[in-house]
Amino acid sequence: MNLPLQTGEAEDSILVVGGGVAGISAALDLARAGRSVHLVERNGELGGWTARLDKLYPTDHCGFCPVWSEVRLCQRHPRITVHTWTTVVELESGDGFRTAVLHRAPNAIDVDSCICCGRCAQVCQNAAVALTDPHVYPPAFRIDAARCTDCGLCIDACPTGAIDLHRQSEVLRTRIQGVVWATGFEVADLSMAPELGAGSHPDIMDALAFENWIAEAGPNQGRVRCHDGRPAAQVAFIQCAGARDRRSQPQCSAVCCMHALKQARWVRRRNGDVRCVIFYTDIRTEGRGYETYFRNEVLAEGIEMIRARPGLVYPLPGGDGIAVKYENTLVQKPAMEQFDLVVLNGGLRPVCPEIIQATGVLTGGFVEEGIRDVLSCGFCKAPADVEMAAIQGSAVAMEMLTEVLR
Amino acid sequence: MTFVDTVACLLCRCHGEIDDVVDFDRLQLQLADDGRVDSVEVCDALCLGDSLANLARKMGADNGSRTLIAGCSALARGDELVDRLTAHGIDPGRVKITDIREGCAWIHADQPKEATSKAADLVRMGITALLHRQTSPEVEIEICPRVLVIGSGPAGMAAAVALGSYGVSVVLVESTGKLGGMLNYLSRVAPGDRTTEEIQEPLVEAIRKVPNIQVHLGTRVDKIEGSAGNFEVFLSGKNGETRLETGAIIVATGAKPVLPRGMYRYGELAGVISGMEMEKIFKDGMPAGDTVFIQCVAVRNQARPYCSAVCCPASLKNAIRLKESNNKVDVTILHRDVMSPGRHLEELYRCATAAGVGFIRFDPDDPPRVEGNDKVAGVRVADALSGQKRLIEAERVVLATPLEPRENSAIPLSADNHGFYTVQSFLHTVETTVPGLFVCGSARWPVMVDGALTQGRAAAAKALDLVSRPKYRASGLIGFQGTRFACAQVSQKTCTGCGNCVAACPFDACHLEKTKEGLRAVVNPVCCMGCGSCAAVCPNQSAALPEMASISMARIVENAFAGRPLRCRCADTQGSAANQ
Repeated sequence: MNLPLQTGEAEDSILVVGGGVAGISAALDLARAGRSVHLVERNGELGGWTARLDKLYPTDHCGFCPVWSEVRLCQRHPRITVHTWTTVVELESGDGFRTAVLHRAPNAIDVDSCICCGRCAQVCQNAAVALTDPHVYPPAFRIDAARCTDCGLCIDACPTGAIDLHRQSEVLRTRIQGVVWATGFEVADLSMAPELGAGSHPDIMDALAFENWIAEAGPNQGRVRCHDGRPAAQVAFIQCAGARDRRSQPQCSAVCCMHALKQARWVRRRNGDVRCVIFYTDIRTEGRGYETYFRNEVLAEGIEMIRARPGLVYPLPGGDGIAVKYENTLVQKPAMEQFDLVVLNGGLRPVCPEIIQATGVLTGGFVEEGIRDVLSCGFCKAPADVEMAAIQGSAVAMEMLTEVLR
Repeated sequence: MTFVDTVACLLCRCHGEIDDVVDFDRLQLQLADDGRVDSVEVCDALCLGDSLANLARKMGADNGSRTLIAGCSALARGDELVDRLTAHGIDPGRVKITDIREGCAWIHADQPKEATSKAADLVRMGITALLHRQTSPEVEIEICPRVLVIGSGPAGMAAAVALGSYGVSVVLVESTGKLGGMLNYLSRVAPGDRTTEEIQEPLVEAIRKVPNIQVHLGTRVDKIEGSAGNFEVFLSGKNGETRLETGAIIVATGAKPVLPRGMYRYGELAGVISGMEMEKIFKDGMPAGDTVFIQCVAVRNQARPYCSAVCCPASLKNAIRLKESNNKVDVTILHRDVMSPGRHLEELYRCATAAGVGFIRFDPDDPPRVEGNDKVAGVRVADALSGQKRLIEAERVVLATPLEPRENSAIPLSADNHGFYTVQSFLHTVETTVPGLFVCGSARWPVMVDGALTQGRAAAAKALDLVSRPKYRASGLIGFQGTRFACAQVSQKTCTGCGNCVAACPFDACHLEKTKEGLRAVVNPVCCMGCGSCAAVCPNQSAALPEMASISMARIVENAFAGRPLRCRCADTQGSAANQ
């Protein structure tokens, strides 16, 4: 058998945009098949949203570790070049290839000579030096240019001379043969649904902010607190907040039912006396093992399920909590209840950098595959959870190998 | 006492991060006294400048030398240092990293004395570990460059076409006489109202065209033996029995639709049909007449506590087609939750509403009742959202039944509580617990056609990784992507053939072989995951993980306390000498 990889590596690389699970999965499978890959991530670390999750469903595993072991595989793979803090600014067409123009935001700290000692962060007067992520190891520091006063204390403190505050951003040009978009999602703006009260009170938060808020490694070490520090006694989860809603995202975000079930379960597991109410329209537990998770792990925790789409969420005067006005559609009764925390779940939208518009086709903000050498996977293609995104990443790698590179 | 084996020690200051806390002078004094150490060096930062290149040059000059590096944790720069030394041609087995930064200097920054003595202990233990290090031998296995795909539904065909067009030799086995699997029974494919031919034909065409895809129709898999890289598969079909060698196997056997026997008067009343029968009616021509779909039939209950994912979209698709062919027809879907997650399925749901399909939610504790004497007259249902009891007149009731797992004793995979094949977690969900066996499509979990195609390609990518290399270096944990790990060894001299390890091995890696001396346990390095279960149950320590051998562990523990009398807490509280 004469497989392409045994006849030598292709000289041109594949560009994978987005370092979440979909991108990681695509990059690893392409690299294993002998292709060199440029993996571009606009944030400071690979891993995407999954690495920032406290728990994964339906296994209740932490989010960080399983992603990080894959990230390490990417970082150490000889055929994968990881570019963090980098965006794709242009894709120039060539004869049988493209040239990708990558823009790397300046980092005052040279990663290669940083020994992760953290002295820069200790001496900084303006908290401009911070860890890129609290969990990653080795830790990586970054100087926030917006907060930096150019005082130079960190330069003197750095034992290895890794800091240069005037380092410029870099532009890299590289020949590529194909592009995989795996740019994922971001939290959608909910201002078009003012009845949900997003932004009107810190105790009304989106589900990803709440994930961090109650995380074991987060600011409250797994406890559920309001923003003024008092413990929360009642938490409301409002599903389809900003999703299945023509004003913002008409699609179902596919991940939020299980996400809310998981969060409510963990709130109850760690704080048994907190009342958790999930306001839902449909509970979509169609995935592998999801229904049993719902029945055995969630309902057993004593979580209340109310079928309703609350019509009004607003902070009560005098810091008296958050009012939620709703109609329980199963008993056809309007009601108003007071909660300490309200979690808005569902408003996620695909990330589509402007550059995609020049290379792919967009429908409703999602990246469709329009051109032969441009493929997409993960949430930017259609709402997908971790498992689906990873499978799609591998599948797209295979498509790239068989359909584009032949 | 003289030591034959010696090591060189390299202490990394990490620019003061370590030696500001750990007393390097004391450490060096201890090392100077240690007969096993032939040289001690201190450097500023091994990861920066040319320190590492110098070390590589030195180690390269003396092939027998071993070096203990005391510095940062393996997770920080340690692993990277070993990688870089390996790139210089140094055998990683000759190097050991001992962490005295994160685990000593940083965490005990306010107790320099204790940090120093802990660092001294760790360095001493590190030297012992390096001197007694045993590594699992690397076994090179010839990989049979072929993939067997079992099942020719969308998942199986996608996998076969992907691998075949990449150049891999593929054998596609189908138990029926026709390629296509479930596609042969569906009328249209949701979402998007595509014909099945639209999906099936290009795949069948590709299978016909690609020369290295061999198709065996009407053929069943009887038995699978062997392990990743070298499976032996026994097939039987029209042409008798054949034996096939293959490197990897993709299981795409699909699932079977449940027949709603005894439910909602199915089989008793004319007009009550299953979802699959509805598909057949559509294939034969456009049906007419008022229709009620009942969702979650024989599923999401005690017996089948799962959601089958495909039945809601199927009913939505068929309801829309009925409505679009004749707007006067009344079509109602009785549902619990409408499972239309994501983008395209939610659009399908919206289309159904826009087309005038009625939706009534019912409570599973108060399910609908089909009315009629000799044929369907209607369905009585309690609308959960209005609280009203309603009678919906209809001449046809379609029971949306789930997919359930097929039983296939020939496939050596374990099943989850629902009967679908168990897969690995997280990023490896087309990989099973058996290395070299991959699963995709509804055999894994009920999935729509598009998802099955995607999973087929994903399984192909994973199988390609295994079969595309001519030789596989197995050193345990083959499924863990390139990570070197321990692989169990059984001493043939001391093994009594008791079989404890065979029973304990969760990966079927141990088996007994007949020798002249009797039965002996043998470990298959491809299957061994290095878990150590065999070592734990072995009555006479014949089975062991070389990296974790009891003898080296004992030496390391011995050394942890060397030079200091062992003392326990009670001695401490009585005020006896501490810090001796």
